[in-house]
Amino acid sequence: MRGNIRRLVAILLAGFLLVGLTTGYWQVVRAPELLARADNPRLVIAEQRVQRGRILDRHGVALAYDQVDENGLTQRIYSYPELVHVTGFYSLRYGVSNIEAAYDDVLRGLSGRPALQAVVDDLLHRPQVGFDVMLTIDAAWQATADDALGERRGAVLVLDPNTGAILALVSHPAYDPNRLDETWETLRDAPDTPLLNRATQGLYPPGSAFKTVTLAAALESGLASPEEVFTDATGTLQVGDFTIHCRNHPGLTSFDLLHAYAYSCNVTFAELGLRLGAQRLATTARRFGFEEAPPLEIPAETSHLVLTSSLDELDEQKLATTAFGQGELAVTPLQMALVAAAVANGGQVPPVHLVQAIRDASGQWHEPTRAAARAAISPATAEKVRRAMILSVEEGRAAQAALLGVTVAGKTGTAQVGEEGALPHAWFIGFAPAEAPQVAIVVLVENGGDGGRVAAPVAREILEHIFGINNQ
Amino acid sequence: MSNVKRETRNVTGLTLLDLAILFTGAGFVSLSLVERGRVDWVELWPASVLGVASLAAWLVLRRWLPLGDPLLLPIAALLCGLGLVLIARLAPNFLVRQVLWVVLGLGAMLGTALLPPAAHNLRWLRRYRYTWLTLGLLLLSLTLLFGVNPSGYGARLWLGLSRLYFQPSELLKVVMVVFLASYLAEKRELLAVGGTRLGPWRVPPLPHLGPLLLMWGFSVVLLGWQRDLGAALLFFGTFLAMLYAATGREVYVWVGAGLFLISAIAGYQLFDHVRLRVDAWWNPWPEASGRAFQIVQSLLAFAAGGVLGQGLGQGYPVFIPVVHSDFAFAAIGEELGLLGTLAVVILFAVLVYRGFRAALAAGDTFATLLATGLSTMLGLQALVIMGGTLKLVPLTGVTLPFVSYGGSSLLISFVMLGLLLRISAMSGEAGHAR
Repeated sequence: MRGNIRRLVAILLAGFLLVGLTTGYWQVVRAPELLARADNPRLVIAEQRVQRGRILDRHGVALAYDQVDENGLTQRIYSYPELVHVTGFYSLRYGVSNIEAAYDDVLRGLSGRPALQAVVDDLLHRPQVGFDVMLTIDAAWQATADDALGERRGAVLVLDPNTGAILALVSHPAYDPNRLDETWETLRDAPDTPLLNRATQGLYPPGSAFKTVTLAAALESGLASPEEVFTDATGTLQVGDFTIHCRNHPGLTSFDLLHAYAYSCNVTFAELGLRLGAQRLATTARRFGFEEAPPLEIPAETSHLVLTSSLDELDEQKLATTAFGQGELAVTPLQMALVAAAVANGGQVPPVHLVQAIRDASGQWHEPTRAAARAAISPATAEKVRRAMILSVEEGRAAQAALLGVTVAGKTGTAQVGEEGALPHAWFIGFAPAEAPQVAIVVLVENGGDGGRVAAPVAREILEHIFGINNQ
Repeated sequence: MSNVKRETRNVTGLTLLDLAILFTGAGFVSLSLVERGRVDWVELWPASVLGVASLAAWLVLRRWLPLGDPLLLPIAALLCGLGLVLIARLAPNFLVRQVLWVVLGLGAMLGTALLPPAAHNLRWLRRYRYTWLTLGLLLLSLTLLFGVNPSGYGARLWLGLSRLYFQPSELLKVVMVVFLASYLAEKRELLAVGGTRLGPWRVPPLPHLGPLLLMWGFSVVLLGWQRDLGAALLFFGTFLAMLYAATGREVYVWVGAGLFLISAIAGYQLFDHVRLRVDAWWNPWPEASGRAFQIVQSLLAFAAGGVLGQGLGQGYPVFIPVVHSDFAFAAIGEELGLLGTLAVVILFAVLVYRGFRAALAAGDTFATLLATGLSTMLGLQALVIMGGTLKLVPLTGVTLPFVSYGGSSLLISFVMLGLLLRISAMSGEAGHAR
């Protein structure tokens, strides 16, 4: 009997050994894989315990911050919901977007924390605290730009042409990132696409605002000079079977190149386009940043000179219409802002950016390294284009952007859209003060109508606020 | 055994018991720190009650059962202390009742170990075996008719008397082991060597095996009827172990295992709840959020614990449904880590080992078989539930002895401990008398 009992003991003890080994298997060997499972509720709790860093404007105003409840669980609060197209959202269900996504590691505190510190924090169940990110956005200017555009669909961009810092970025309609989870389905299916960032991702025909690029190409190539006189007596130009119309300068039949730009003469610019040819126009456009995605921190679309055909296939009719801003052009407001900024900045395209600085564990701010400005056109050409843009505001079609006491350089655009009966898109691009530019600005109102009457006043309202001018 | 040696053993036991009480106190301090950020001494009352009650039990044993195994009480106290900490953490509503059951359990342990008739080599247990068995089966039958479940759903395994509930199947565990030990002690010679030859096989003496099979079958059928799979498995395992220990005939084990396999397959085909348990064990992953939710959450809790654990009160074992009874081991895994689970495994292994040690030293066939049965029952129960939460075996709803919430189980575990204490003292007494 004793031998039998000893065998029983051995069997039971082997059972305990097996259970011990199995605990080790699940707790050590398989643990990393198990913990990463999406149905592990601890992931959500752990996520809710992370205290994300704040997103601040250039003056330190908190645009997004975490509220911590008594259980140590956090909730993301957006104090300036209209800026969602910059800050992005943070949602347990839908993830992160824009700056929240681009700087997720910093905001979560994953990068920038000493390794030993991370281990100690983890062991003591200290909440993971992320680091702040400071944007180039000026919340007050942003508010002015938001108000100026109002309920209309469209976009506004204000940037510093010297540094490339974006000071205000408006895309309407916006949405409230505080209520994302409840409204997501509606937002996703809404016909006015509130989730689209029109300022950086919306592709539009630029209309006459694009004449700035054509003008720069013509002057830079030496194929035209500011003094050259152009004539448009009939308001039409025959290109092959196609007739180009211009009704922009009633009563005027001849003008020099800069005035042709100011009065936005389609016939003149069609002729310039034909004179330049597709390759020269494309080269200048590329130097301004066309055909490549701007290296912005948030998603930004590539602007195209031609959307469907290749440059070589561009026939005379397409080339002529492209030169005055129609054709197959598909351009983001951001790209047009870079064109204006380059003209303001002596021909240099500044490195466009949204993040001013990020904070480290010791509370020090660090500026991210940025690319150098890239030359699009020579300073001499830039100076000539600047003069044309000043003329456009002083005498031409952008008159409604004029300010008291501050010279504004600008260009309007009224871009025809394909759909039957739809109003054209209204554009304004420009910068001020014209002599020593501090801001470049782009206004786009989708299906807003005439650029001079719709977009230019929006720009003026914003510039008045920026320069402290009271016109009333 | 000399008096000096005996005294050393008892002092060792006291030191271990003190450590168990200290551990429990530290557990409650740690919980209080996590939940309130400071030590609320009032919160430590369960540790104090456990300490006073177990030290009193130690004093009583030292006076009246000085030759009992000194390790059994400290191990049980440590497991109970761990259980109290877990219940305070996971199901604080049950804490008062569990403390009460621990005190009652310690009393029951002393009662079983020290009652005057017990001193006479447990003859009373042996003599009235059919009485005990009839009583146990009667209670079980009553449960079939009038059974309730205090939580309002699930298997109705309890008998209720106003607000007190008792699980007769727990009592039946002891009764069954006592009966088997008594019967086998008397008939083991017959069963071991007897039988008729039938070709190459030796057929066991059916007339003697008959009553055994009948009794055992009756209880298993009752339990199967009540869907108390865990208990049925324990009965079966313990029955086979005792039969093997008494007769040494492996054929019983193989035939038994074959019968078990057949009934398991039949159960799988016939009963939804059996199929669910087995499916969730074999491959839980496709139904991780459905039928296998509990077991997957259990494994996630173990994984979350890692080696060191999240710390008491700092993990999330509450994601496992009914964690405080069936999944106490998983909660230990998450909050105390691999170190905690291994400690619990080792504690049970030592407890079982000491029980068998008492069996081998008893010098009386009935006592030897009784201790073997009790140790096997305790060991199997711990293995089945720990293995269940680890996806090592299909999950069955048995408690982790001394740790899980559950009054009947705790009381009966202490009764079994009392019997083991009594048997462990027998060898010394026999030697003393010589």
